[in-house]
Amino acid sequence: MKMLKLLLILTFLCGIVYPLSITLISSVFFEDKAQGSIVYRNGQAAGSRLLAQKFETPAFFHSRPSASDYATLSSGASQSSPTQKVGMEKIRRRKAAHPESGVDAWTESGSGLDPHISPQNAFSQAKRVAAARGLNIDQVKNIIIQKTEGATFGIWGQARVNVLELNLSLLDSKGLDGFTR
Amino acid sequence: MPRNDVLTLLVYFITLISLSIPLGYLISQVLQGKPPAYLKWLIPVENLVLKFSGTIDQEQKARSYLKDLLLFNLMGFLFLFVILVTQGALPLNPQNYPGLTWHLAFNTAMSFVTNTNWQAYSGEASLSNFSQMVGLTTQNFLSAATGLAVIAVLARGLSRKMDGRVGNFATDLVRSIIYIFLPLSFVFSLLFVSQGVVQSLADFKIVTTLEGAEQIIPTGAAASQIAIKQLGTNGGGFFGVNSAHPFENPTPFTNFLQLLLILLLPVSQVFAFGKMLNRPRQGYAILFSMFLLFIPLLGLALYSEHTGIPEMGALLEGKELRFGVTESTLWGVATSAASNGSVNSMHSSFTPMAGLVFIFQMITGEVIFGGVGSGLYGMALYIVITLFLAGLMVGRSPEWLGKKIEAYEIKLALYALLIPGALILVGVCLAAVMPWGLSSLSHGGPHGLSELLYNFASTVGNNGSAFGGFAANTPIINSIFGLCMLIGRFIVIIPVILIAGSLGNKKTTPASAGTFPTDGVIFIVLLSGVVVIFGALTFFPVLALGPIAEHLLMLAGQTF
Repeated sequence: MKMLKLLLILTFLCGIVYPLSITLISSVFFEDKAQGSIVYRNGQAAGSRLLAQKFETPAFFHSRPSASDYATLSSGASQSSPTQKVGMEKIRRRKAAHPESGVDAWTESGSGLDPHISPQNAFSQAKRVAAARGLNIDQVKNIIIQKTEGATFGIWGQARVNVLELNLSLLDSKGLDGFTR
Repeated sequence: MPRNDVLTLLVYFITLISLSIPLGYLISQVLQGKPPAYLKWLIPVENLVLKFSGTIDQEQKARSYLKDLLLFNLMGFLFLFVILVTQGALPLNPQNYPGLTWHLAFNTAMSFVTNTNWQAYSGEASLSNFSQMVGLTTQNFLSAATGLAVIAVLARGLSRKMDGRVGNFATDLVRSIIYIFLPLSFVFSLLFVSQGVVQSLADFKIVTTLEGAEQIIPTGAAASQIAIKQLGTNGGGFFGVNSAHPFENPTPFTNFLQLLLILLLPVSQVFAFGKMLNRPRQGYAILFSMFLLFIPLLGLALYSEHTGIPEMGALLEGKELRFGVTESTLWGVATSAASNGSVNSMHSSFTPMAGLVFIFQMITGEVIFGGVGSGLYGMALYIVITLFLAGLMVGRSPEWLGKKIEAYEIKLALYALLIPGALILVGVCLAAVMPWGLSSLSHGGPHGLSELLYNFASTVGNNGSAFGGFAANTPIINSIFGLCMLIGRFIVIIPVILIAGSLGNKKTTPASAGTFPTDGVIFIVLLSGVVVIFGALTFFPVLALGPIAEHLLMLAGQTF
C-alpha cells in the first residue's frame, strides 16, 4: 500500500506537474519553437524549418535521400549495413549519377527527415536550379553562400545548408527578366 | 579527422569531468540526507511526498529494502502496462491512437521500468501524450532513481561496521528525484525547447509544402521527456528514430548537451561513491579503469568510421549531416557504454568495427561508466571478482575496504555476471535457428548474426538501442525481449543489494602491509583487464562470426 501511494504521488509529480509546467513555460517564452518551428509563406504554413520536405522538380534544391520517403508518421532510416547488397547498390547508383554531389547526397539520413545538405551538394545542384528558374548561376551560388551555416562556435556540427530556407529564398529572388517565380 | 572534431572531443571530456565533480558531491550529500543550502527550498516537497506515501524514514535491512524496491517496480510495471493498453480511452490523445497490443504493452512497460527503453513502437505514430507523459516520462525518473538507490545501498554496506541496515528505499528514491533528477531535467528541458525541441499538447499541424504536398508536423510533450531520457540513462525517444529526429535533437548544440547528459550521471556517481565511502581515491581508481577501457574503444570506433569502406571512404548512411561522422560516433560509443541507448544515428549502418565496439560495451555489462546506478554497481561486481582473483594469486583472502569477501559474495557476483551472458548467447543461438528469429532479420551474411547479438545484448544489458532493421514488434519477440530486460535488470540488482547487506554485517579490518590497495595502479589495470578478459572469453567466438567476419568481408567488397 505504501509503495502504491508512493508510485501515485511520484507519477503526479514527474508525469503531470513536471511536463505540464515545462509546456506552460515553453508556450510563454518559446512558443514558435515549442510548436515545431513552422515557416510561413504568404500567411500560409509552408513547413517546419527543422523537417526535410520532398523536392523533386528541377527548380528546387533537393533534400538528402530518405528511406521513408520523407514521411513524418513515422519517419525512418534504411538501417542498411556496408555489406548489405540492396543498400550498397543504391549508394553506388546515386554516386554514379551525381559524382560531384558528395557523400551526403548518396546516402540516406538517420531520421529520414534531415533538413540539411552539405554546401558541396548544394553547389552541385546550382546549375540545374538556375536553368530551371531562369536565374543567373552566380546569383544562385550567392544564395547558397548566404544560407551556409558553419560549426556552432567553431566546435559543434558540420558546414550545412537548410534546404527549405534555401528554396524559400529562391522563391524571393528576381530572375534575369526582373520577375520572381 | 578534421581539426574541429578534435576540439569537439576535448571540449566534451573537459566539460564532462568538470561538471561531474560538483554533481558527484551533490549526489553524495543528497543520498546522505543532507541537501545543500541552495536546494533547501525543496525540503517541504520531500516531506509532503514522504508523508503522503506514509513513509517513516527508518533504516531497513537489505532484504526489506529489496522487497520494497521490487514491489515498487512491480507496481510501476502494472500501472504502465494498464496505461498503454487503455490509452484509447484516456485523455490527451489528439490523434486518437488505440491501446497497444498486449505483447507490445508488455514489452514497452518492461522496457521503461527496467531503464532499458527498448522501442518496439514508434512514438509519434502510436502513443498518446498521456502515455508519453504520465506513463513513460514518469518511469524515466523512477527507473533511474531506483538505480541510484542501489548505489547508496552499496556505499552504506561498504562503509558501515557490523550493521546490516542499508537505508530506506522510499527516502532514497524520493530524495534523488526531488533534489537531482527533477531540477536538472527542468533546466535542460527548457534549454532544449529554446533550440527547437517540440513541447506542445496541440493537435498535429498539417502544412502544404513548397511543391504542394501535404506534410503532417508531429508534436507532443517531447522536451520534458528528452531531458530525463538522457539524464537518467534511459534513452527512450519521443520519436521512433530517437535523437536523430530533428524535433528531438535539432542542433549541434542540443547534440552536445544530450551527449553530456548521457555520461554526466554515470561519471558523477563514481565521484559520489568515493565521497560516500569517505575514500575519494576509491572513486578516482574506478573512474581511471573506466577511461582506460573507454578511450581505446572510442579510438577504434572513430578510426573505423573515418576510414569507412574501401571504395568511397566514410559514409553518412543513417547519419544526420548536422552531426557528421565524429559526433555520431562519439554518441554511439557513449550511449552503448552508458546503458543509455538513445541514438543520433542508426547503429546498424555503422562500419562493422564500430558496431563491435558498441556490442562489446553492452556484453561486458555496461560497466564502462554504465547506467545511472547500474554502471557502478555492475563494476562493483567486477571489483569483487578482481579482488578474488588477486587473492588467489597471492594466497590471501580478499578484502574490499576492510570487508572480507567470502564465498557468499563471490557466488552472488558470479550469478550476476554469468547469467546475463548466458542469456545473450542462448538467445542468439535460438533466434539464429528458429523461424521467429530468422523471419525478423533484415540482413543476410554476418551482419544478420550481429543484428541478433546486438539486440539480445541491448535488451539483456538494459541498453535499449538497436540494430534497427530487425522486425521486433511480433508477439514472440516482444515477449522474449521483455523477459530478457526483466532478468537482465534484476539478476544484477538483487545480488548487489544482498552483497551490500552481507558486507555491512561484517567488521572492518584495518589495512595492514599485506592488504591489496584498491586505489592504486595495479588495481586499476587489473580491474580493466578482468572486464576485457571476461568479455573476450565469453563472447569472442560470436564476435568473430559477426562483426569481425563482416569487417573482413567488407574489405573484400563482398555484399549479401
